[in-house]
Amino acid sequence: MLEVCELNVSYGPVEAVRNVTLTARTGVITAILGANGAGKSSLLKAISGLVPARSGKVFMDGADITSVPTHKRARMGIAHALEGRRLFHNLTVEENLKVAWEFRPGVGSFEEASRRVYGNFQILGDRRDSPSRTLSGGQQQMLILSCAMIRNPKYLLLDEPSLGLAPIIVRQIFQFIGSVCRERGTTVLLVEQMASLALQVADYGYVLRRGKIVLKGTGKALLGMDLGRVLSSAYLGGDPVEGR
Amino acid sequence: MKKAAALFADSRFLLAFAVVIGAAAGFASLSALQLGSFLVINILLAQSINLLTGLAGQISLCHAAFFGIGAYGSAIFMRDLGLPLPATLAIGTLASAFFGYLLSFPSGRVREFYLAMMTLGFGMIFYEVAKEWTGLTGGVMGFSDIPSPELRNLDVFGFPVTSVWYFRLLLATLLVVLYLLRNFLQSHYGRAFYAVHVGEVAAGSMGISKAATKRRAYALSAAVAGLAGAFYAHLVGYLGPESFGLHKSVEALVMGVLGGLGSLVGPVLGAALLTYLPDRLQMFAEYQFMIYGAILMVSFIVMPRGLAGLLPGRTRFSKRPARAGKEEPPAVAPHRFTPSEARGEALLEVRDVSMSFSGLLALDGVSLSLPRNHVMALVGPNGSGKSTLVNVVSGIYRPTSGRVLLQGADITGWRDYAVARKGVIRTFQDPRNVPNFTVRENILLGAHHLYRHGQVAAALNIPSALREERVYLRKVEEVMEVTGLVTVADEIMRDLPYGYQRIAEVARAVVSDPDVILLDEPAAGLSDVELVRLDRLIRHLRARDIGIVLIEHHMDFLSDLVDDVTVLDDGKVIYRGGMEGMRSDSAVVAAYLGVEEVPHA
Amino acid sequence: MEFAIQLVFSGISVGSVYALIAMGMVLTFWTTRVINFGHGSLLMVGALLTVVLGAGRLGFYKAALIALGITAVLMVLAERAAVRPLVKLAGSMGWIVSTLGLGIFLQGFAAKFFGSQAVAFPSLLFTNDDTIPFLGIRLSAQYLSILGLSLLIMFAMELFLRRSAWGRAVRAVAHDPDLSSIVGIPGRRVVVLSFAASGLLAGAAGIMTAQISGTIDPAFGFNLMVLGFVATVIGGMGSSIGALTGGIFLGVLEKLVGGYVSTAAQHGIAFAVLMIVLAVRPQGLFGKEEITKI
Repeated sequence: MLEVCELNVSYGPVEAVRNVTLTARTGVITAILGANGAGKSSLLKAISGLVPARSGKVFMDGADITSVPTHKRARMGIAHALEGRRLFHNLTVEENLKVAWEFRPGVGSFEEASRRVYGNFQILGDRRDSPSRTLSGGQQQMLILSCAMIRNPKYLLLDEPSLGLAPIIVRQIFQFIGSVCRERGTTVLLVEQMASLALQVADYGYVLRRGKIVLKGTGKALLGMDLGRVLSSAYLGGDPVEGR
Repeated sequence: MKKAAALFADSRFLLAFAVVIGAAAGFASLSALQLGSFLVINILLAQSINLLTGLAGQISLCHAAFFGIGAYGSAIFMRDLGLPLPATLAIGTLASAFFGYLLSFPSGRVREFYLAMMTLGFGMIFYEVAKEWTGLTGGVMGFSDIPSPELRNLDVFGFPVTSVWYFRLLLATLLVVLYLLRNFLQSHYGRAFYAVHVGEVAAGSMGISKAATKRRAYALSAAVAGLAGAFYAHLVGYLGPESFGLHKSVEALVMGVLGGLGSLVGPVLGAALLTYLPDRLQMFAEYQFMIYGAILMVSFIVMPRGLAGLLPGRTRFSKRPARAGKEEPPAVAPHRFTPSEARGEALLEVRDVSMSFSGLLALDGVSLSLPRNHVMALVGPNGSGKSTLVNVVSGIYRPTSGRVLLQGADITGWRDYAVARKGVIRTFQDPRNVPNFTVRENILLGAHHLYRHGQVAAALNIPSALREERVYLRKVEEVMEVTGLVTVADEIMRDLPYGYQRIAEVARAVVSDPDVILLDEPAAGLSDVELVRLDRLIRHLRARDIGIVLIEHHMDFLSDLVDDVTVLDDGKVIYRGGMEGMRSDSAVVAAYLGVEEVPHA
Repeated sequence: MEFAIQLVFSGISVGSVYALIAMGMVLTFWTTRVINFGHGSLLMVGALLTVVLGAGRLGFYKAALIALGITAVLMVLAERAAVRPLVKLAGSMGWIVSTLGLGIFLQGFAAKFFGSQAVAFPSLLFTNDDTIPFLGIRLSAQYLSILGLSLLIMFAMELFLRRSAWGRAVRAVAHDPDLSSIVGIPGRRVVVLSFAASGLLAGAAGIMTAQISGTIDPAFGFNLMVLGFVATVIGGMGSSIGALTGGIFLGVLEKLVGGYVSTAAQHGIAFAVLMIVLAVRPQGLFGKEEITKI
C-alpha cells in the first residue's frame, strides 16, 4: 500500500501540492484527475522521489520512504512512467529495456523478460534494434510501459499515458494497464487527462484542484456523478467544488 | 570601517585623496613609485576584466592578450615609428579594442564554456604570435629600448617625463577612466551589460540586443586592458612574450574574482592585494600559481562577491539625476492610434501561424486578433502550445509559416529585442529580474529601448543624458505607485518575496510603453492579496489602451477580468469567446476531460 | 608525395591522441554538463608522474600504470571538489572558474615541486628513429604504436559504452538524469565512474603526447586541452565517433599546415578552425542542434 500523508510540494513560492493525504491500496488502480497546474505530476514525482517534499510523508508498505533517494525507491519497487513520453531516445528499444532491467533487483534473465515484452507488443520486438526516437508516439508509450513493468514492480505510477495518442492506441494501452496490472497485482496510480477513460479502468479516484484534493470516491461513484459539471468546474473554474 | 568606505565612495574625497597622493609622489622613493605605478596599471587591468566578466558575464581567459596588444602596440609605434606618447597610448588602446570587438562575434551564438575555451585559445595564439613574429615583436629575445622614465628618454611634446610624472599621469588617467566607467555603469548601457549577464532571453524581452551589448562589452574591456598594457610597456621599458602568457590572464582573473566581480570597488581591492603581496612576500612568488588556483577554486563558494562583498554599500546602477530645471515633458507618452487601427484592424494579429520543431508540430494554423483596451486569456491543457505561441509572437522563435502583425506591420521572424522595441513586451513564467539590482533599477531596465543618448554622452554625464535619466526615473516612480512597489523601491530584488518579484517584472513591462503585453502565468504563486493587486494592475493597463494576452491556468482569477478567452489544444485554436461559454463548450470540455467513451450514467 | 603521406600519417597518429583527450572531456560533460577546464593539467600530471615514479626502481612501464591510477583518482577528487559544489550555482561561470583553478593549482604544484623546466620523457615505445617499412615508405614506429594504442583504448571505451551495463548507464544519464534515477541507476556513482574513466583517458593521452614530443613541462597540458576541445567542436560532443573524427581531422590538418605553411601557422590553425566552426555550425559536424527551452 502506498500512502501519502499531508504532503506539501513547492517549487520556490509556487505550491504545487497542498496538504494532500491519499492512499493507493494494494492491487487497486487509483486515478488522479485534475487540470493543469493541479499538482498531479508533482504528486507522482514526490512519490517516486524526483522532487523533494516540503513537508509531509510518503509511506510504502508502512515504511517511511520520504528521504529515500529516487534510485533506491526504484529498486524497492516503485516504477514511474513520466509524462511527455520520456525515454532514452539515444538508446535502442532493446537498450531501453536493458537499462530498465539491469539496475533493479528481480528474478529471471533479461532474455525471458524481453521475450515477455515482445510477446505483449510485437512491434517492439520487430524494432528492437532501432533507436527509440524513431518509434511512433504510440509505440514509444508501449515501450515506456514495458520498461516500467519489466521488473514486475509493486507500484506503477503512470503520468498521462494517453497524451497525444490516437484513440485506438489509447484503448490498447488501457487494456494493457487493466489486464496486466490486475494479473500481476500491481498497484497503479494513474494520472490522466482523459478523465472519463481513466475512471473506466480505475477502482478509485481522487480529483485535485490547485494542489488540494477536492473530491474522492470509487470509480463507479465518480462516473455516476454529473461528470461534465463536476470535473468541468474543477478544471475550468466557476462554482467551487466542495471537498468531501 | 564603514566610515572609511563611505568616504571613499564620495567622489570629491577620492579626488582630493588622489591629489594628495600625486603631490606626495614628489617625495617618494623610486621603488615606491614603481610599485604605485604597477598598482595603477593593475587596477586598470582588473577593471577591464571586471567589465567583461563581472558585469557582462562573458568569461575571459585571454586578458593578457589584450594587455599585450596594447603594450606591444604602444611600444612599436613609439620606438620604431617615433610617435609621441598620447598617440601611442591611443593606438594601443584602439588596437586592443579592435581585437576585442572581433572576438565578440562568435560569442553571440555559443554557450559560455565554448566562449571560455575560445578566449583561452586566443590568449595562446597571441602568445605564439608574440614569440614567432620576431620582426615585429622581437620574439623571445624581447622588445627592448622602449622609451621610459627609467631611461630618461620618454617625453611628451618636449617635456621629459620622470618617474614621478609618469606616476602622476597614470593616476590622472585612472581617475578619468574610473569616472567614465562609473558613469557608463550607471547608464542604461551599464544596466544592459548586467541584464545580458543575468539572462539573455529576458534582456531580449526588454529590447536589449545581446549581440550589440556583448560587442560593446568586449571592445570596451579590451580597450581598457590595452590602455593598461600601453602604460606598462613604457614603465618597464622591455617586453617579452612570457609576460603575456596564461599566467597573466589568470592573474587578471584572480584580481577580478578576489576583489569582487560586478562592482566598481572590487577590482581596486583585488589589484591592490595582488600588487602588494607578491612584492612583499617572497614566498608568495614561489607558490603564486598554487595560491591563484586555490583562490579560483573556492571563491565562488566561499566568497562569491569577493572582498568587495565584505564592504558595506553597493554599486549604484542609475545616475544621480541633475537638479530639476525647466519644464520637462510628461513621463507618460500620449497614446498613439495608428492609421491601421483607425481602419479597424487589430492591434496584434496572428495569421495562420504554424510552428514545427524537427517534425513535431507545436502550433497548427493558429490565428487570433487582439484589439486595444482588451484582455484576452490564452488557456489550454498541457502541451497545447500556449508558451510556443507567446514565444513566436515575442520573437524567440521564427514561425514555420504564418504571419504576425503589429498595428498592421509585419513583425514575423523579427528578433526578440526588435519585437520588444516595436511595442510587444512579455513576461516569463518564472520572474526574470536582475537579482542584485534594486526594484527601481530593475523596473528602469524596461525603459532601455526608449533612451536616446549615446555611449559617449552616457560616459561623460552630459546634461541631456542626465535629463533623460531623470525623465525615466520619474516614469519608474509613477509605475511603482500604480503597482504598489514604492515602499520597496530601493530593496534588492533577490531579498524580496516572490509576489513582489512577479509584480516588479510586470511593472518593468509597463515602463516600456508597450502596445501589447504578454503575461505568462503571472498569477502562479501569488497570495490572495497579491492576486487582487495584479488584477487591478491589469485593469489599469487595459484602460491605458494596451492589449493584453494572459496565459493562465488559474481560471477563477481570469473569470471576471478577461474580455474573452482563446483555448488551444494540440496546437490548434478550438474556442474563442467568453469564459462562460467556454465552460460549456463541448470541444473545450473534451480537450480537458477526454471525450473518448463518455459514459452513460 | 612521400612528404604528404608522412604528414598525414603523423597527423592521424597525433590526432588519435587528441581524440583521447576529447573523449575524456566529453565523458564528464555527458554526466555533469560540465567541461573540466582542469583536464589539461591532468594530462600533464599523468606524464609527470610516469617520469617521476619511473626514475626509481619501478621502471617506466609500471610507473605508467600507477600514474594512470593516480590520475583517475585525482579526477574523481576534482569532481568532488571543483564540480559538485558548483553545479548547484546558476550559470556556468562558477564551475568554469573552479575547474580552471584546479588546473592552475596542479600546474603550480608541479612547477613548485618538480621544477618548471622541461623534463625529458623517455622512449618507452620504440625510439624516435625506429621505422617500419610500409608500401615503400618508412613510417615511424613510435607514431604507429601510439596510433595503435589510441585506437585500442577508443575501441575499449566503445565496448564499455555499448556492451556493458555501466556503459549504458553512462549513456542513459547523459540523456536524462531524472529518468535514469527512476529506473534505478545510481546517478552519483555513474558520475564518479565517468570521471575515473576520464582520468584514465587523460593520463594515457598525456603519456602518449609526452612520448611523441619527448619532453614535458607543467604548462603543456593547457595547450593540449584546447586542442582536445577543438576536436570535440569539430566532431560534436555526442559520440566517440565524433571525438575520433574530430581528433584525427585536427591532427592531420595541423600537420599539413605545419608542413606546407609554417610551424607558427600550425599553432594557429586549431584556433582558426574553432572560430570558423563556432561561427558557422556551433553544434559541430556530427552534433545535433540544441533546442533551448525558454
